[in-house]
Amino acid sequence: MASGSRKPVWPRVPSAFVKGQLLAHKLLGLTLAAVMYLVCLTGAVAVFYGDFERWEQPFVPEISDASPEAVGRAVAYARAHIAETGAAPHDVYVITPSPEMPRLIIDYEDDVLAFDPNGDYAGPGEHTLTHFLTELHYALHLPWQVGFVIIGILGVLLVALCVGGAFALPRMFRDAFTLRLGSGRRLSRVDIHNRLAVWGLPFHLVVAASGATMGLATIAIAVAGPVMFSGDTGRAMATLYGDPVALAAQAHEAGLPTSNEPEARIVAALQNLARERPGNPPIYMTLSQFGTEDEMLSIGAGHPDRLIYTENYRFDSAGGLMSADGYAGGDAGKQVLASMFRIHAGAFGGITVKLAYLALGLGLSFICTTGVDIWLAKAAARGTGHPGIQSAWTSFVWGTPAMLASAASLYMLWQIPPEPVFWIGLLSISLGGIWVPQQRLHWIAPLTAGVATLVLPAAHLARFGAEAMTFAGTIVNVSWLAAAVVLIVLGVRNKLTSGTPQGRRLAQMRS
Amino acid sequence: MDVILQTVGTVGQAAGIALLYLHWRRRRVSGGGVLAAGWAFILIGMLPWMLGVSVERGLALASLAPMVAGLFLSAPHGLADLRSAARDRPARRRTAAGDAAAPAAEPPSPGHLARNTARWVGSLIVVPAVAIASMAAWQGFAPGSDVNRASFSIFVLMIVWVAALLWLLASAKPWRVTLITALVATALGGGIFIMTSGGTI
Repeated sequence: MASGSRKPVWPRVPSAFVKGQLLAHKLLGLTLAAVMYLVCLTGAVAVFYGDFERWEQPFVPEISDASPEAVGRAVAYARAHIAETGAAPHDVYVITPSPEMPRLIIDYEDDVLAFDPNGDYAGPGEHTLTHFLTELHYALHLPWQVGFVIIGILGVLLVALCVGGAFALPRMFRDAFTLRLGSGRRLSRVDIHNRLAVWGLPFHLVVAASGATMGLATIAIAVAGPVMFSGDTGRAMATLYGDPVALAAQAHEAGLPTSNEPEARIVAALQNLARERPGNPPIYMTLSQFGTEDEMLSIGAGHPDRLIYTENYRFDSAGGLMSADGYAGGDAGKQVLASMFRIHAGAFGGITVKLAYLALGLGLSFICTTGVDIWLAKAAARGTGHPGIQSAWTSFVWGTPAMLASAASLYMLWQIPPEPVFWIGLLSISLGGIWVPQQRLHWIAPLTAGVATLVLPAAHLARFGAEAMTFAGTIVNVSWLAAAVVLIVLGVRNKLTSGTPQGRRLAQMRS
Repeated sequence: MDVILQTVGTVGQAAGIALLYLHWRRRRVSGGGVLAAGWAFILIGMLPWMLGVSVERGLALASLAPMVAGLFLSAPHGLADLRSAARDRPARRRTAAGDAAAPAAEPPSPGHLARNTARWVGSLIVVPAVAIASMAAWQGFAPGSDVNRASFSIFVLMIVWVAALLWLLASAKPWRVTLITALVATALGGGIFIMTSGGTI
């Protein structure tokens, strides 16, 4: 598009370097496309995890604010419940009402309990489906410790894909707006891939690097133990997250709380936080080493002007504010690590930022699919097409949203565990797709994904009835409905165009 | 007041992207002034987002609008190309030519199995090893507090991993890159081991 007579802004990139980076990008992209697509698609949708939790449990009371006394009563109930059931959780988390999650929830290893504005028990509060989605995104449903590290490594590899892809585009700025949609399958896919990648590059780099940082923090601690602390990994943990023994000893010095009400320490802590940090509302509370003499109370409080998720305020045994972990004002490294979640999940600017993250995340998923499409189109143009791989890939791409929706619907209707349904279904669809001609998949796949998505709000209504149409429930169900309509229209359109001469030619090119 | 300024900032950023688009559409005959003005609008439009929040939060918010605006402004060219392809037979021929432009399949050159083996060995073993060794070296020798060394070592790991992986996969001689990387990993890892333990197990 440029005149060509003008001198370029920076030196010409050697063609051998570009060729090498293209090769690296291709090798890496083709190896990782499927798993990257899974992680990116689920991540894009999981931006709304808070809304999904509210949709999934529509009968849990919604609360804009809970008094310290109500929180104290809720904790007292949970303490008695835990003692009754014989559970022995190490940590118990109290999610206090906030604009992001207007509910009072107590969560520990074995159970999730929901409470009303008075702190009285209101029923179970577990979010199986939301966890199914988020755990697929951050651990691929593998055991947490392993899955988190693997996803961290995938984050590094996504950074490599972004950087290598950018190096492979020496005309990045010159072609910034070039989009040749009518110039054949391969060129149109190349342009869509490149434009989405270039304009979304800052977002892609940020989500990849932040995801990698969160996933690889355990590696950093594992290495720091022998390198920095003579093999003492506990000291490495203590450096980053505080020394539990020293903190417990310090907390004990304050003695008992003055009041006799239930969980007086927690009530006093919340009151003290509100008084001493009025601009930092509580988001969650952690009771670590729960039920022991060294039980520690800390409150994660929001800092709306910052990118950090929370600052962790520690409280003594009388509920007095003892110290802060330093995520808001401590070492730069701590502040950077504490900022990773919000920047990764788009939780820093309300619904507008979340919608932008959804769009850019879906764009990144689309980049994964078009990357493989480009390779397939090039192979077909060379006369070495892979129709079986192409059909399997198409089946996998459309089968992923279809199976996410189907697994969720089956759980919603009959409480069938979603993980095996999803993985067995996706594997079957992807392998079964090998034998289905691309011309058929071209319209059947989006249509099936659309119908499966349509079933989800219907299943939600069937399970919870019209009363479940709370604000969050209605918004999420309408969103599923809109997504289903788009997919069904796409499938029908593809079916109709496959009957026209142009459509037949297109389908022929695709196959 | 902040919201109004931020809205003005977003509009300014979108206008900056639009100027870049116009500069691109006129095939750069509009000169460097328009280009500079476009970038200036984008940068100045960021400023209102810094009001009342920390720099990192402001930057995160201010970076979103240009990305979305740029994607939207790619659409006109795409739609115009689609329309011209629909009514223009030569364009269809161009389509066919475009799709056929890929070079014919070449038989694998000698040694491709060895190169691929080197790429797999390098990617799965040697590159992670040099990245972890670099992380350890940073933790052991970089200046700063314990917290900062441990925290920023994650970024060192990431940067070294990405650089080494791209170097390996882009290389026409991956065995050589694998060997060099393995040597660096051994030297770094050995150095760290000797420095931290005095060489005793």
